[in-house]
Amino acid sequence: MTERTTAIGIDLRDDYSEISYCIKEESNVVTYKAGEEEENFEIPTVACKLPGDGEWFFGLEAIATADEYGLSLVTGLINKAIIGKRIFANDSETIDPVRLLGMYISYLMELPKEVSKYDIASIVVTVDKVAAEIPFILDRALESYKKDVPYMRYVSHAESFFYYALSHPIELWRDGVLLYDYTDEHFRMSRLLIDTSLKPAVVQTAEQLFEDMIPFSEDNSEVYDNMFREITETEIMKGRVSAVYLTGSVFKGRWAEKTFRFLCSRSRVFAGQNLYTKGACYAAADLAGWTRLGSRYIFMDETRLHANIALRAESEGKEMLVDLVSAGVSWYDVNASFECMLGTDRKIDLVIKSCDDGEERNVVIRCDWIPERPERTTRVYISLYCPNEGQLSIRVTDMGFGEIFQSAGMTKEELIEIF
Amino acid sequence: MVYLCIGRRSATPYYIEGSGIGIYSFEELAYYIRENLLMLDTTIMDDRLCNFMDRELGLTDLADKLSHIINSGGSLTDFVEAFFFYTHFASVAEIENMKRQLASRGTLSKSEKYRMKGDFLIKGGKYTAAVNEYNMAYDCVDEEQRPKEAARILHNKGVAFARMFYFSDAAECFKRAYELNPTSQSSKEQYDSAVQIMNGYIEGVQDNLEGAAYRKYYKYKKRRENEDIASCRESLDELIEELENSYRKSFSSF
Repeated sequence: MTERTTAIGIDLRDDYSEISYCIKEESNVVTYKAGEEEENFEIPTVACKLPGDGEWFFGLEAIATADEYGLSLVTGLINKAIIGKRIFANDSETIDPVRLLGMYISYLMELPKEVSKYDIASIVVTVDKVAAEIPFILDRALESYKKDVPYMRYVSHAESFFYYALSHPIELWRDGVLLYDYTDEHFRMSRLLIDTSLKPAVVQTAEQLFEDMIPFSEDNSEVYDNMFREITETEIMKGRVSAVYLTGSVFKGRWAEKTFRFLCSRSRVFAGQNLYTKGACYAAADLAGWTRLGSRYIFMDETRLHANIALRAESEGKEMLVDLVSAGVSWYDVNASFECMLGTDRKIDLVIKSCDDGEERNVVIRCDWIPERPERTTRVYISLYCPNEGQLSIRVTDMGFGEIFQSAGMTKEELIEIF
Repeated sequence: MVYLCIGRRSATPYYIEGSGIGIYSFEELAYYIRENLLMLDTTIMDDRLCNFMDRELGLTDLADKLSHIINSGGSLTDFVEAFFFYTHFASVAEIENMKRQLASRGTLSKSEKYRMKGDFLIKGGKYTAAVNEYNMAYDCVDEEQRPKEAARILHNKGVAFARMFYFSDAAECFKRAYELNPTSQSSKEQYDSAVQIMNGYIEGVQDNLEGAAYRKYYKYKKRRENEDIASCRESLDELIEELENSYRKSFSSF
């Protein structure tokens, strides 16, 4: 099989999206330019359909089509996919919103001419926050890619920022990193916190929203500049930072001269509109195994498991713990399975250990529904996944014992709360 | 408690000569050897088995050790001892016990070996195959010379028939077993049970339910009272399965 050499990072939002790619062995990540301007990476997340058997258009083409024919645009594709109601499209036809989102993403993937669908090794999609429905929606939307692309993940903007920052030389993050994300919806300050006392190191973001900065007004730019200066000064007083990143539509304008001068005197400062898509692309490269960031640093956010889950088992006469799921994995990525032999007590012992306070909890899964058989003559298949944040599903399947004891063919599922 | 599997599970089975059973994993092979110690012979010491353990089960080290024993003229006892020792699948005491049983197997008669094979097949639910083994065992035994062994064979054959719900054949076997060994209260009781079932006499179900069966009956009754038809049907299936399992357990072999 030919090796795949392209990693894709997509920043998916309801107003606009961006796509970046990188080629294995090449260090730079390229973001697709939507127009002639230097920093124009934004592809509107909109769709428009010509009535009748007409085709669907997306992005700028959709806007142009809507203008030309006096049609309405379908906007808010992500939100509509979450709600799930079928969408009317300029005629009496309706379409499944998740399918439409999938079509939009396919459109995005075809924009960079350098990218071939058959050469994609990994795709990472980043969204502002990975809500509970997002993994399932994106799994369905990216169905056509799942069978060919070996690796796929969905990450938050915070995690994308982590990948972006730590993919740069250590001088740019060793003493700390700040991110200011300023749009019409929010002004968010994030600081990366790296705990190198652990192996692998644990990375988190401390986020703070400033409501007073919303909405931005160009007419009062001096006021906002002063407020911004105060915010940054307070934060930088807490400790040195190696780099400050500025992203978001409000930072396109040059209204914060005072604050920029202050920041530049204290740290390296970078401004750009494609931080998250690039971060997602770095994450995709790491997922494909081209870098080792993910093995040296674990990013912890609210989607990550804060507990290790192990199976208590006996081997060669000794009791041991077999790790099934490690802390730091996103709940929607939990997909572990294991085969073992059941004892006559027909119990499966799981140990759930919190990595926050070290608290250990034993969970016993009773398998009385499996027929009684002699010791070590029932093979069971155990699979674990998280149907949502905070819950773990444990499925046990009776596999019988070859031709000696036929399997009852039953599977039972238990749901337990996890940290 | 669960135990880690030893080696892989094979997609294709290894057939042990004369057993009619396909083996897919180390644990199945270990179980077969343990349960049939008295019937084992050197045909199990086969390089094909070692190849199977190496290629299909991924137990290369063990396969090498066993192959060495075969090729250096080692005994069946050496083979079985190595099999269990190097995988830590049995304790030292258990291995010593197995060695003693292997030493005593030369004293078993042909009919005893066939009967024990039938007993092994019954445990695995292979009742038709078990009946065949009991038939071969019975053909080798002289009723007059060894009536108790003959009775034992017939009794266990009756159990196989009963578990297949062939009550008439079962009753016949139990009756003959009792005639050959009048001290066997079990054969008499099981004959009586088989006859009762043949005659359609089943005491009031509710009065005789206990434990899990009773709980399942109670659940069924409650759902019926609530007119919850779908759940009612499910409870009824569960109750029938419980009764069938209990019934099968009630016919036990020697």
